Amino acid sequence: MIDDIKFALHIVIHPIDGFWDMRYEKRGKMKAALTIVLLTIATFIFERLVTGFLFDPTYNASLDILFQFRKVLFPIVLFCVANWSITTLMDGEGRAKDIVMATCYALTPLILVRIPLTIITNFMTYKEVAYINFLDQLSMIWLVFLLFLGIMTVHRYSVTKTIFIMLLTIVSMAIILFISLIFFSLASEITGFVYTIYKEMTLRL
Amino acid sequence: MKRYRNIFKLAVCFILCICFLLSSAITGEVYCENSNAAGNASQDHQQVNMQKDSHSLMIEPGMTLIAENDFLELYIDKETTVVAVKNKKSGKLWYTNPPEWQSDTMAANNTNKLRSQLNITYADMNGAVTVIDNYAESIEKGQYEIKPIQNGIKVVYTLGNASRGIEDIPRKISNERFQKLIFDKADEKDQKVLKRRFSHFKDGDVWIRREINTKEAVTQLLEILDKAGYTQADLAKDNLDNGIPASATAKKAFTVPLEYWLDKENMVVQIPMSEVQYPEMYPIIKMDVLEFYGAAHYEQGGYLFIPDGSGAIINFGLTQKGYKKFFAPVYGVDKSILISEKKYINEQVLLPVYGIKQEEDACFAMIEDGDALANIQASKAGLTNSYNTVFSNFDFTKMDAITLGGSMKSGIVGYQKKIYDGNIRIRYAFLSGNDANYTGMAHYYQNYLVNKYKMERMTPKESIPFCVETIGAIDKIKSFLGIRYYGREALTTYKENIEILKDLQGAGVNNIKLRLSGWFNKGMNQTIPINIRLERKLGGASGFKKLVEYAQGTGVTLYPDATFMTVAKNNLGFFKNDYIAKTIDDKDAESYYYNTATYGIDKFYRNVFSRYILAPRKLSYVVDKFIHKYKKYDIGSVSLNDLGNEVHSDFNDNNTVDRQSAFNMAVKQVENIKNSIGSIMLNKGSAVTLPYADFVVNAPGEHSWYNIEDERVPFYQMVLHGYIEYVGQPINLSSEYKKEFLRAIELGSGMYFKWMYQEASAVKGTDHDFLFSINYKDWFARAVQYYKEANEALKDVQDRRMTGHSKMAQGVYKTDYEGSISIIVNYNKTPVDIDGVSIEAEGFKMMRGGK
Repeated sequence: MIDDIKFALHIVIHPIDGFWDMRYEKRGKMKAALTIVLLTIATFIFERLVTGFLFDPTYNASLDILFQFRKVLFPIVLFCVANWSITTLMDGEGRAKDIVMATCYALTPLILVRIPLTIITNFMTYKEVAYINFLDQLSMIWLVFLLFLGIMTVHRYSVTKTIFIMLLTIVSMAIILFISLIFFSLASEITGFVYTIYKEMTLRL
Repeated sequence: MKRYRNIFKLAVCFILCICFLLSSAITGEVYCENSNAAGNASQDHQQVNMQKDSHSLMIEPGMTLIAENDFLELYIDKETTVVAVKNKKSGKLWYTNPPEWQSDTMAANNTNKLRSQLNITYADMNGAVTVIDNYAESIEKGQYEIKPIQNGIKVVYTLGNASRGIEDIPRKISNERFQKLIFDKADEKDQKVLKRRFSHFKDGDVWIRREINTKEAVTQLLEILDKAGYTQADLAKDNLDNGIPASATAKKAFTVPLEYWLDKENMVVQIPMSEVQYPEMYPIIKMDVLEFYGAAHYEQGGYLFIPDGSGAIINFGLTQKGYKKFFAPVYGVDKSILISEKKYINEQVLLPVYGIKQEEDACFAMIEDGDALANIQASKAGLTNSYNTVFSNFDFTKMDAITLGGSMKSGIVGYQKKIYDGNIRIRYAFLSGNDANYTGMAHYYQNYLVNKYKMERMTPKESIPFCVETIGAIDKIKSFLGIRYYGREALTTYKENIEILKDLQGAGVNNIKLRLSGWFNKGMNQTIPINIRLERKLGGASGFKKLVEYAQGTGVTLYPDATFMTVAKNNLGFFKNDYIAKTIDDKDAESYYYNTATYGIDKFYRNVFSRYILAPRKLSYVVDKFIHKYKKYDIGSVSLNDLGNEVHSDFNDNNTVDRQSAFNMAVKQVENIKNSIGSIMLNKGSAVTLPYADFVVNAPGEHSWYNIEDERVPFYQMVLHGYIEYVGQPINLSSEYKKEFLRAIELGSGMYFKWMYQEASAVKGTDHDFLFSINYKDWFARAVQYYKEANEALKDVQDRRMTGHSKMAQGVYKTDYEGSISIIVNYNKTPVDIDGVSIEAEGFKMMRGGK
């Protein structure tokens, strides 16, 4: 347990070393990775509930917990699927499991930064919003940075290739979204068509 | 030559004189021309006026007397089927069609309409609509029959093509039948003709009719067929056997009987729907009845009265640019027909009446039967002719385009399967002298309701009514561990209602009517009232019992509000199809909310507030169940939210209920509730349900403000005042509450407030956030003060009839009551002086006997 926490923190500070250990020294654990995801969701819920009134853009509306789950899980799943589909074709060495773990471990800074930040918002004035925003964005930048290095290490890519792969991943994410959108609209179109035929038959015959 | 011409002229004059004398001797009295008709007007104008007066006072030549009683005389012109009624009291003649139609220059080629009594709109199966009038299609062709009935006359019109034609000749007939039925029976000469007109096809062994272009050929063939004894039944069989669609042979002939008879001081016009015939393929969509009855030339003085909201009048005159006809369905729109766009926010027509005032006479029409099918239409002169008209038309077959999904537009049109089979009956009353105005009409209607429905005169109370509506529970999105769900939010519990009542009584408010909204079955979005589940959040059964006891102990009338005609959408689940009405294209009928910016159906509010329409056939079951459960609480009074002001048909294929039947069912249920529960509060009560009511809320205080309307008149209030207590809109929800208060004084209504006990924040973030201004503490002091001021003015006139209403100056109105009490209301922000009486800004003054 303590080891897992230490390892997660190790990855945050020494990403290349950490991700290497995760992939090739078997130090990463799927359970730990999923716990990090749950903690991230918890962070978002915490942020939603505890953020000081001044910095709360939701005007105290009631919390929708299912939305928070979706908000975190959906991008992760989408990214993992898209990245796996691209890297298997581009001879990446990482397995699906490694991609998921790398993505999950990369979420750690979000937890580290945002929980204290949320508490701090209760003591800050609106003039200090700049600091809040800075730290907020810092956590995101750090996340992206870790994700980048994680993917690079796991697949043993060069930096330029990783940049290329990341761009491709984004494109394939868009394609996945697009195709699923088409699928759903087509499905509703087909049911509508069947219903129309039924209706026309009842009316004309 | 010249001498001969003069002699000729003299002779003609002489003959004309004799003719005139003879005709007047037959038809009755001759009235002298009114010589002081036009006063100082120009010569030209005088002539026009004299001509008009002579027409309205002197019976036209050719009219024969049909029936007569102490009040009226009924005449008909058998050549034109124009019917006239003479009001014996004033001598005024009321024609179904303007006698001087020939002099109408505006009508141009449109004079047929001026001479017709009925306009029929029919549709074919593709949805194409045609309008025909009974002058061109029946009278001119001589296709009508006049039969005497008791006290009156019945004219049976056959419109359209009644004679036989090409559609009576078979198009396709099998060889066997052709030989047996026709060919063998014809003589040699005719057989030649038949061979020429029909050709034999080996394929299928049939005879097919060739194209026939001349009328003579058709008559010749028909004669041959008749001689051979070929009947309509044979024709139908041949068409069926050979797959000729019925539409190809259907004849466009419509038979419509129109009955007129005198009933004491009224003339009654009736169309018995059972005797109306029309081809199945050409359903009658609607019918205009007596469009020009009492039509007034634009140079005459007077006005049209229409029951738009509280009532409105249209002064005679020429139409102006941008003016449209007034058209409104009686009892509001039928929500079982999908309206995809709603462009106007308008008042509802609650009373099926209209009238026309000409000079010193007035004619007042009440639709007695078929009222729910009626639309009231009024138009000013200048659109298609020079007459101001107000009349009713009746929707018989509702039709609607059925959209089949997908991008392809398909042309299927659906029709109502079964149509109304009762009578259409309009009762005309004739008023003259002091009664010849809308006040007279209102009093006439009041008496009519009193005599026919036993509407009872009010007993004066010690003070005017103070009606307070409280909102019980509303839906609010709540979350449990962050999982959202719709929960109930209590705005006014039963206990808090008692508190409000105590406060009001403590402040000296009497005659309190408490209308409870959203008090049971899930609050404001009430579920079907076949059982009563009291909200636990509001205090449950024990809390409710305490409220009832408290109200009964302190003389407060409790009106718990129930909604019957619509059903919450998430309510019925599996049994949905048993309970809800269907549209013509067999979808679930729904009441929509419209977006004022886009005119379209508001998707957001559709999710929140849309409700299904209850099938009318289920109404009696639901009401009976409700009464059964409701009686347990022993309240003795109930408020009906939508019974009596909305009517919706049901186009369910197997169980079509037309609008009139639906309305009759609703009225029957109001009566049922009255008999088994007791006192009834109606929300915007309509005509026939009014006599059952003890209290009316939301009585319309305005008209729709169409540009054709010249003035608002408090007709609705005049009918009710002295008989039924009423209030207008809630004063605190009005955009200008002071104005709404003054309006209550002007219209003689009680005070009406809509309150909740909770702070405004309770509705924040809910779908009911428009109720932000109804916290009772914010309004309490002002409400009590208003009540006391209003009580001072209106206490003494509670049980008196309203005898007049007039505009004294801009924003200053005077309302008169029996016993020469009048109240002048000043809406202006400055004081005014009226006849030496000064009235303060936004104030009012009561005057007895002119003081």
